[in-house]
Amino acid sequence: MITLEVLSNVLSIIIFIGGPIIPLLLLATAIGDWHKLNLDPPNGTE
Amino acid sequence: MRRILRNNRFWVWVAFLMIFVMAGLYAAFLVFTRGLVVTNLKDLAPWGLWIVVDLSCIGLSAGAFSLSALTYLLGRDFLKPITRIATFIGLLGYSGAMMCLLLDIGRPERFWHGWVFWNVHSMLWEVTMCITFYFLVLVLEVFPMLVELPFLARFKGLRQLGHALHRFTPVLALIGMGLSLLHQSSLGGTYGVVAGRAALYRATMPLLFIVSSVAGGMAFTTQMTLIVQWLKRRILVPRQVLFQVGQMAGMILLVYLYMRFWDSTAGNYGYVPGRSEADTFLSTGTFGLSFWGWEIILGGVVAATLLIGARRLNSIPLLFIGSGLTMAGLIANRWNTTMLAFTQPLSTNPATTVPLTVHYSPSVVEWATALGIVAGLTLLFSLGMRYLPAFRGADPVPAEAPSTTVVANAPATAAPAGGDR
Repeated sequence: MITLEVLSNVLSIIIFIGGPIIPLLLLATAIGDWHKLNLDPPNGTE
Repeated sequence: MRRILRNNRFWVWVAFLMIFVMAGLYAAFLVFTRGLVVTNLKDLAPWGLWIVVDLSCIGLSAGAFSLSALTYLLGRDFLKPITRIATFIGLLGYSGAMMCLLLDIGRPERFWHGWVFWNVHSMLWEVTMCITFYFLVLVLEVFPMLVELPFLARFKGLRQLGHALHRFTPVLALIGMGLSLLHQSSLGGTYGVVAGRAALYRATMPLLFIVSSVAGGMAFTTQMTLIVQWLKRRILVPRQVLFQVGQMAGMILLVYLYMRFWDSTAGNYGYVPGRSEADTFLSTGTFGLSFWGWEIILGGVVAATLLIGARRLNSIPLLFIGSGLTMAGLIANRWNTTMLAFTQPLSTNPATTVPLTVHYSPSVVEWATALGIVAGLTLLFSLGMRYLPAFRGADPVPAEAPSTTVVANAPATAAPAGGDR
């Protein structure tokens, strides 16, 4: 019973924390890659 | 079919958001016609998901007043591009907050009562007036951007009015800062004055609310800018500006964490009836994961470290993750603050000092309206970023290819690529 309880706690932590973190990391990688290939224009953004 | 979807990605996105908007409108219709009985709100838990969304919208919109003050009052002109985005986010955020309040007050046809029947002893009245006036300030600030839309070109009077208003931006920034400082802190004060809720009743709530909202607002604006640039494939804000704003947000977040630590420790010498139980419940009970995981560790310590470190390491991914975690931390804080209060009944009877748990989980109607509001704001933000000339941005410069590739592909007559072009 204790093992099941521990398992469900661990699972809920993984879902509750990992659920939002994984898309954030994927998006961060994609955005970082794009910025690596594309630099700021020399004349500014105005 | 796939090609059609690929070529119309923006409109697929709009259609996707519209599903939630329509569901939200239907749920709002149920609330307006049948009353709050369709929600899971009750006497012991009168504020729920809507108030969390309301407080989060307002907190994440704080980039508008803080960046406007830096730009127009302290003369940091290099922040102008990101301040425009922050102001637009602010207008949408406050619109969302007002939609939540309209649903929550229970008698939506009386929404105007606060403006006419003044109750100057009520914290909520002060918040209502400040939010109303600040919303008007944001409308005036965004108006010059709206009149630049190409299809409004024939209305010359509108454009002239827009240009005239634009000249008053520093004045509007000053008024906006005053109103924001008042109501961002008063939202914390609204909780802080509730003597019957031991978990909230303390003088530090206004300070905690305003400092966390400034950090959250700046970080949220940074994150939204990065997403828009990536989707539009254009540069709206120079990356050094984004790094600087991120670093400021990180530093303010550290100040907030210090204040939170001080508030939790120095504010609790010995046993404080009700408050001590609430703190234990917050840190070890069902709130434990969202408090330690999201609010303090990920949304606090990790987020501040990433935001401050991103500039030094020149890393966009770290900046993006840091700002996303700050946003999540702020939402978790507003959730924990609102929900923790309702784990205790009103202590009208002095003998009732042991907290009793009140169960609250939002109903389907509450979720549908909340998601509908968030989807509606996202839709308006997407349309604004796509069509408003102020957010046109500039074409990026392709990064120099690695030297081996350049040499391999270069024509025989081309000059050597060189290290710094």
